[in-house]
Amino acid sequence: MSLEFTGKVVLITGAASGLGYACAEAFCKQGAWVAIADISRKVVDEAVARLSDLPGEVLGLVCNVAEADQVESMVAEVVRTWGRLDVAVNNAGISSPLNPVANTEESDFDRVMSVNLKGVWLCMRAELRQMEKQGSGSIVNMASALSLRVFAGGSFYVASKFAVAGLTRTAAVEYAESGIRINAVCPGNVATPLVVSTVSSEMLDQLANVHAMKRLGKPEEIANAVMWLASEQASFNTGTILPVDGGWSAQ
Amino acid sequence: MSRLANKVALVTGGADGIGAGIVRLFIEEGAQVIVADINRDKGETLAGSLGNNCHFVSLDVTEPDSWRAAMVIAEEVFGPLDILVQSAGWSRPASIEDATLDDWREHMKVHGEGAFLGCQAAIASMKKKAGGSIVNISTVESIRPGPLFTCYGAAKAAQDAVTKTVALHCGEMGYNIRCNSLHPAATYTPLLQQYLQNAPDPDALEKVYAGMQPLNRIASVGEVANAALFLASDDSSFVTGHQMYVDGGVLAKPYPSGQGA
Repeated sequence: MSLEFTGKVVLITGAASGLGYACAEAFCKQGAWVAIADISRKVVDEAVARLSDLPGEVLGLVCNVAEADQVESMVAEVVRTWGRLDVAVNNAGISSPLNPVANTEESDFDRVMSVNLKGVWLCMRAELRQMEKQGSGSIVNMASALSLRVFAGGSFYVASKFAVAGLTRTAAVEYAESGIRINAVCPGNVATPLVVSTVSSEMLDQLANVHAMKRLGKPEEIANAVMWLASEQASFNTGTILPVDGGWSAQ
Repeated sequence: MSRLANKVALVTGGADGIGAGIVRLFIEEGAQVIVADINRDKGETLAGSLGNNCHFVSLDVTEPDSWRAAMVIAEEVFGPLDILVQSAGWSRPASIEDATLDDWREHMKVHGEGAFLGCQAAIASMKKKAGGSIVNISTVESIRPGPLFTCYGAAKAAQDAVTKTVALHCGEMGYNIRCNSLHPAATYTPLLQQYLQNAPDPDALEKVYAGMQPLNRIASVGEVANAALFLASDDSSFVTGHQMYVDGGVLAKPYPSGQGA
């Protein structure tokens, strides 16, 4: 995919691995200046090292997105370094233990919500404050096919991802006339390096078979959709919830 | 750019409006494009202006024989299809009290039967290759129809069901054929421009149309074509059965007019 990102400032959370890393790699290849934010210095430094040969510039940032002051500092650091924020990809997220609702724990609820929902909100709030000053910007939230469909046992994750879709659409309407577009991508099950290396081949088949296309998604397919929504190609798209799920949510 | 290099596309309703915008963009992106339209004069003129990678065929999307003939010519000229865009469409706004049964049937024929026949033709052609992508142009009125779109809204909803079932079937069969719909809101087509110009107060009416979208403007044909390009190209290779809104945020709002907010 070739889109215009040369010299655009992009912030990606959860960017050290998985879908976030795939997005970081894709934006770097297009010449963007990409801030790689993740939870620990070690994983951030490793990701920055792996990305350093690509055309774009890279900035490593440590941030727990569930902590307001850390989120504020993260966005401030991007702006201090590069002067602006053109694109934000709010990707950081965690999974929840699989249990029916009667067997769930308060601590798990708080943990999942603090990252998947509160984290996206805190990031959006800080990003929007900057983008409002600029009068421009594009935010892409990483929602999920589980923003549109449910998975028994995954109530916290499902609820958090439904909420991300709601937050996306509400903010899209609020900021539509501010030059800021806000959209979300809903990935299905994707063959990230972590999934492929830790999940049994039997389970991988099951994950693939929920999609109409009967295969797993590739990380770059999710990154392509994120880049498209982030780009000027999608200039009339705001509040769009874009499934990249091989037809899972069409069923 | 060449995001459609080596791809063969057929665009119905390709002589005019959104269809013509898609034809132009696809040619720029390196595709070979069949302009399929019921309007021969406009279609031949457009195809003639776009060089050897563009060819016109006459097509009435409601007629199976017309589809068969068009596909024979399309495959002779450029080979089997990689991409079908169904942009042929028609609408006569009328409420349930004013619409006639003929209105209903005509809408169903163009949008419902047209999509049905087009998907059948495209799948048969794409199976000769390694797969393909079908993009059916729908409308925000299929998701949230206004009171004057009894026939159009229902016919486009029928088309949407064809889109989804085609996506699911092709997935199940392992054809690597994707099928998605694209749902524009108000778009600056020649038809809309003419409608606005003929109004007693064109500027006031344009403001009303623009104001329906949270972005507070009307889409350009190019913006809708860009979305069709994304869905048609390999950039969206894991996207199927999706209804993509290119709507300036209309469907994210609680109510189209904003009154219900």
